[in-house]
Amino acid sequence: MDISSNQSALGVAELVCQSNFSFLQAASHPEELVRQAYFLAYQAIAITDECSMAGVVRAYTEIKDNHIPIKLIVGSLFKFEQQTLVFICPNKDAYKECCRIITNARRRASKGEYELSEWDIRSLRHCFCIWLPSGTEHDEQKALWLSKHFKERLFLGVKRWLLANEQDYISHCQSLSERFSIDIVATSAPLMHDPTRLPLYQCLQATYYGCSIEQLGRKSLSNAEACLRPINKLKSLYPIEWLNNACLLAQACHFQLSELAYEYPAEVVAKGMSPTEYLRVLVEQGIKKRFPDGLPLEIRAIIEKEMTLIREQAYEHFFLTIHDIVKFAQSRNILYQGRGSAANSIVCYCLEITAVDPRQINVLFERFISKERNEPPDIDVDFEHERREEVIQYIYQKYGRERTALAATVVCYRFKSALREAGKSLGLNITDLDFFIKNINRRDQSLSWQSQLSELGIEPESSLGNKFVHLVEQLIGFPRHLSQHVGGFVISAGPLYELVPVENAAMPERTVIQWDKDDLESLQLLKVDVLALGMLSAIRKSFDMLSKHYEQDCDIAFITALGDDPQVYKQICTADTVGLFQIESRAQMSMLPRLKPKSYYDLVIQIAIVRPGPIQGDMVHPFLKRRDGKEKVSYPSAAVKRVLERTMGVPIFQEQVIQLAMVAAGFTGGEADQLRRAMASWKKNGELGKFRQKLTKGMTERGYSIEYAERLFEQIRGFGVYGFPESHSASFAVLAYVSAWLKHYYPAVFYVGLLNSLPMGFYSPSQLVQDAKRHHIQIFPCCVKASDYDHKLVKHKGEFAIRLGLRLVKGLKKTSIETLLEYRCSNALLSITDLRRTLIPSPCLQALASAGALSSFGHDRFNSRWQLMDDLPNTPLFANVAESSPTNYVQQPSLFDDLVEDYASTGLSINSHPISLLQNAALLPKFTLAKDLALKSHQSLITVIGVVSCKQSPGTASGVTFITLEDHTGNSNVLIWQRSARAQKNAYLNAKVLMVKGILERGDGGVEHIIAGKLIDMSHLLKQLAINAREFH
Amino acid sequence: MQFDTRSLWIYLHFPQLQLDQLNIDKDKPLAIVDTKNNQICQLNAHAQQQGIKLGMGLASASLSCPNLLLHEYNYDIEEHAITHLANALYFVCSDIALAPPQGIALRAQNMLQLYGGLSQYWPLIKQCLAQQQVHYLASSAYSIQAAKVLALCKQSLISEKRERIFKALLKCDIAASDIDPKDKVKLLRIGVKTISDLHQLTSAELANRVSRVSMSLIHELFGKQAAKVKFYHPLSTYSDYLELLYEVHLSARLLPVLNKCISKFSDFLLLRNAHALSINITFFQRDNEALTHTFNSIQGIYKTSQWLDIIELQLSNISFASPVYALRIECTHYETAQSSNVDLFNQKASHVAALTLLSRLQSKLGEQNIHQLRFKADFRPEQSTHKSKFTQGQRACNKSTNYNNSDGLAITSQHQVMPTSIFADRPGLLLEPPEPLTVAVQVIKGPERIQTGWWDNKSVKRDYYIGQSEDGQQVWIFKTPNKQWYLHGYFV
Repeated sequence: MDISSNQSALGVAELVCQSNFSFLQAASHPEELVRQAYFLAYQAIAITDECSMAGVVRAYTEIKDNHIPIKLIVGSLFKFEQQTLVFICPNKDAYKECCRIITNARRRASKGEYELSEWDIRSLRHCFCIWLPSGTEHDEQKALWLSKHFKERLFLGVKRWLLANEQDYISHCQSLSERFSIDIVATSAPLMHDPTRLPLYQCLQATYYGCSIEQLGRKSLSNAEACLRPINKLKSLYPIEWLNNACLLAQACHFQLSELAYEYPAEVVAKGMSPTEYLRVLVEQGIKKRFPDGLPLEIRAIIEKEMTLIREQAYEHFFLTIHDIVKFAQSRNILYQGRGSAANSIVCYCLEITAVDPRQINVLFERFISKERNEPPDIDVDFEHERREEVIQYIYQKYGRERTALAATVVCYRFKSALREAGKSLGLNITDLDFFIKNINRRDQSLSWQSQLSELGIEPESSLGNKFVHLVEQLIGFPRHLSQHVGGFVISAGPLYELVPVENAAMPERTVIQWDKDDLESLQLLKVDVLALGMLSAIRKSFDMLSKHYEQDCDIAFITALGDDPQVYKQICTADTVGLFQIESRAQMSMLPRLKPKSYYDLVIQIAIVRPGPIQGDMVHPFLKRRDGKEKVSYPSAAVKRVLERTMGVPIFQEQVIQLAMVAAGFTGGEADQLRRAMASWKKNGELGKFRQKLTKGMTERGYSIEYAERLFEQIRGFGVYGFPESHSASFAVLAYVSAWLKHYYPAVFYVGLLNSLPMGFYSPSQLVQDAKRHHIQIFPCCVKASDYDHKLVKHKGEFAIRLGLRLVKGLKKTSIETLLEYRCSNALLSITDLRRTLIPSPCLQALASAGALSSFGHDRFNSRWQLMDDLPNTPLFANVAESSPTNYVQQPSLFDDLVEDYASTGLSINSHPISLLQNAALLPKFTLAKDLALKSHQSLITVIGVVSCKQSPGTASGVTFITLEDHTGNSNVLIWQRSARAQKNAYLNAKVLMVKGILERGDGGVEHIIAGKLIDMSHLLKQLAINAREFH
Repeated sequence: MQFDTRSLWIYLHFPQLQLDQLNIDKDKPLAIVDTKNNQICQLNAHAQQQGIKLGMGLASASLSCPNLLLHEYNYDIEEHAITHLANALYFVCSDIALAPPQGIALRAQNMLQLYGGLSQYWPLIKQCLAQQQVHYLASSAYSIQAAKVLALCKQSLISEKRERIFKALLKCDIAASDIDPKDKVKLLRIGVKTISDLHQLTSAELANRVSRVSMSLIHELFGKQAAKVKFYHPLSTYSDYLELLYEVHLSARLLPVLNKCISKFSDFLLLRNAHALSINITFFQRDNEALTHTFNSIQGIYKTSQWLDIIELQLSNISFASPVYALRIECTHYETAQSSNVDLFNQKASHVAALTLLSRLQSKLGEQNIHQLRFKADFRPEQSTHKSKFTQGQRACNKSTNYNNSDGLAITSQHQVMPTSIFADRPGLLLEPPEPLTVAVQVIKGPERIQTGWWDNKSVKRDYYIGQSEDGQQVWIFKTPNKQWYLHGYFV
């Protein structure tokens, strides 16, 4: 390209600029850079992160959202053979090739690295190249090579950072320019948007080099000139010609990220049909299946409305792609469930993406998808967690690896990591930093972390303290590296690397694009979320057992079609929900008897309301009062009534908060979308604060009280961290109900399904087995003769009991179990000698012995293991020698030994419980067992003792800790106030067996809590029990 | 290697050796944390009173006792301490086997005759340990392994009676033995928890079930097999550490203490017919880094009075930032006295080696007056060079865990930049401090902006220029943000 510069100033364009997405190499957010460039009246700014397109999308979004009149140029910077090359994109073809070489360079190297090759550079046919010479003798050769390949597309970038010997460097560049006829463009090569970021830049550099700032020495910058500088200053530093050249080059760049059009994969549409036609065919097929008795007119009307909306927004491909994936899951009998804003549409119900029957829930599609809000449709599909990989492999196979990759997640500095890195860079002792991190309670709202730091020995007002605090504050929210999204796939029609750079993920064989879900949304690109959910595995396994043992074919749609079952809800209302989906936590369980869900929509509310968001926003109590008719439902306006009517005037769902911002504070669709994103990433970057004024101003202008506006903002903040959308809650409620239905009607099936799907959920196998026993289900231990790999149902006295599977035995490999089962099919297994013939490795057999799985051979676990430990029979010479008579091994396990061995080998004990052993050994004082709590009166003084099985200190419970104490008859719920916990912190923190003296409180719905007074650590008694057991022998 | 099967051994276990080495306020809750598993591994009585227990996680401990002083566990400290203890015990026991980091085994058998029995001998050892101010657990037995198990299980049995020892041993947990941890787990899983349980099993049965190493240990434990022992020999270098009874601020007050120390050192040399050219004395200061000073002599000397003369001469020039609470005297090189006999003419003809010259200069002028100029990678002109003491080889690094110190040396030395590249645009002569510019200067080159150093309160914000004065002298000048000009150096 020929740039003809003239001597009158054209303005300033910065063509080489790195954001903090050049991880640890620059110290400003892309948003800050574009805002500052606009403030300084630059004409254009390029974001050229190192081998990355991750930052430029953020800059694009900032410009788009705020209508900033500045030109954004897309490009990337590379280090190649000690030279710095910047490629900027004048058009879409250039962008495509730039993405391609980034992808090549990234894919060649390990995660986080890149390796550019000469071939990559030579393959660039459209990009402009700005070369920043190294200032060494190699430059001449490089100039020759680059001129040859880029010809008139090559420019020489000269930066002036006011360094020592800079004049020599500039003369060197000028000489290169003259000799090789390369135009010079002026650049500041900014690494910061403002000079005040120098300390933060040096902190990041220190992190990069793994030293302190002081030790960085001359590897760092000597001043803060690597920033966006005022135009006047630039004019005094550079010849006007160089500045003009940069402007002309910027003018020659026409590419904008908005040009990127997502092209959907074509194969999801049947040949000869348009996407709309094909979707229509599928929906009509679905209607016949889902509504065999005929489609009610009002539902037909909704379907038509949805189809129109889908057509208008051109979302057909999105629905078709997800339909294709769920069809695959169906063909493989993999259970799934769709959720998200678009998932609760009737179209999705007809496409069998979700099982939520629209007749049961009066949710309008429009409530979830709003043209005005301009949100992309959101459908997440959960699959059985053990089989999600099959779905992922299907996607890779169908669309090919070139066209498929995972979305990225930008891992940012959070408080702890920021504190650690900032402290290390200032040379603070690592042990001290660990101490600060462990002792700063971020949930303490009364004392800021800065003040807590002063209590821990660093005075924020001191010089060091001030710098430290300042660095930490700035560093929070800075991107640290890219990671992979849990399951968000981007699938495109052509090679994905022409749309966005693709790099290696940490997991082998996985690739990840350089954009996260917000970036994808900004560019209107769609992703398909393929997620894993343990409960779906448990439910599918339960369905299989129902089919096998009860000859009843079940699926999720069948159970939901049965309608709300009062018996099931009755059980839910008593908080008998251990193991159920979503409503199994202590907080949920304590709310169930108060909220008393009686219908599907009650469950939707229950799931969403017992979350820190609504709790923090003080929404739970007003809702309860209004629901029970104790408080009048009122609305400040009709508009607000429309939004909040279904939840009795209390905002419970995330969608309602967004809608409120629109109807009550006058947010536009775009602003509401920004608010939604800010809510999602509040913890990451704290951007929510900027909406406060807008919200309160908008609401007071519309006649709402300032208190109401402030309360709404608090609610928004609460939602920001833990808010839950109605669209997700609606799908989760289905699974919660299905799991409750299974537990109520087929408890043994339910427990087996759940136990076979662990690890998942809140509860350990031990807790689930205890719960099963409380439901009068007989449990049989692991047995080498009777157990399979999985836990299974067995008939016992006409009822189904549970036989624990060998998967529970720690240290036993799956292959060994398979060998054993295979051997057992064709051979008798009567003795240890038989067991040895299986050739299973001795340690695995010993694990079986310790688990008590060999007790059917007639020996206790110590004796069995002792025999198996003997190596002699395993040697070839003695292999065929018959088993000697049982050895006279003297050690016999006591009850306590059995208990210890049970827990050590399988994590649970069927026959004994530490509390019952302690009680039988008369080591415990008088106390109330969990089963007897119901007999005690409200406000009575009681003593409970149990094993601490759960300790939760939710961020919202204002310093309250919930402790669950387990004894052999059940669980006691203890509530400890912060003051009690602090005063008795040794027992509170360290007790394994705890005695609590307190007051029994029976609240609404019969919820029982023991408000702790005195805490006594009884853990030492276990040792005493061990000694007693030893002496007994 | 020596072997022994029938001797009586005394095993000393020091459960909080690192803690005992700490010279800080012991009236505060204090704990050592093992950073490998983030658990408390040593703690003092105050920490115990606050509810801290051994094996407690760092987070729980911090929460239980917010004012808990924590130190990282450091194997080297204990290993050094155990050697030091062995040195002290060497005066009462000739056969010592070290079991670092926390154990020492003394073969008492051949000392009993000398001291007239265990009842006379044990008090001597106790006295020696009392002087060292360390916590210990001790037990005697007829194998090191048995004595160790007894000591670790807090049996505190000092006896020659085999039956009594055996009875006590049976009560101990196998966890205290050195049996291979994998085998220990195996044994626990079949209910073998105590030495008594172990004793009930026959060797033949056990041998098929545990490793050979463990079998050897079990045999050692029951005195059926000889243990391989490597006896400790005192180091050839001299090192003496002395804590003062009271803190001393004035160097003159240290002389009487030093007299005592040097007299011990003199005895050490005399016993070996040796003399030394230099000794290092480290003064441990209460609130500051330890100060190590090297005292040199031109000729090899050994007499207390001669050394004291040298020390007295230089000591008056040493000032302490805070009171001295301890001293360490070290001598790593000494030579036999005969080697000083050199030929008269040879001596005359020999040139003075650099180190000898240095030694003489340091003796005459004081070590603090001998410096070497070193470069430091720092943009600030004042910080880019620094004077450092001339050391004979690299001194032992300060083993502080401080991030700053431990990494500082490495980085500085790693990035020692050649002066030519640093100072291409820098003057040969730098004025310290810079002087206000009073003469007219024409700017030739610049500016070079230096705006850094915010982290150590020596921040600099200057624009440097190379200028030429009217008389043709090239000068290095700078302008401050408030437009004041200074002269900072002259180019050659």
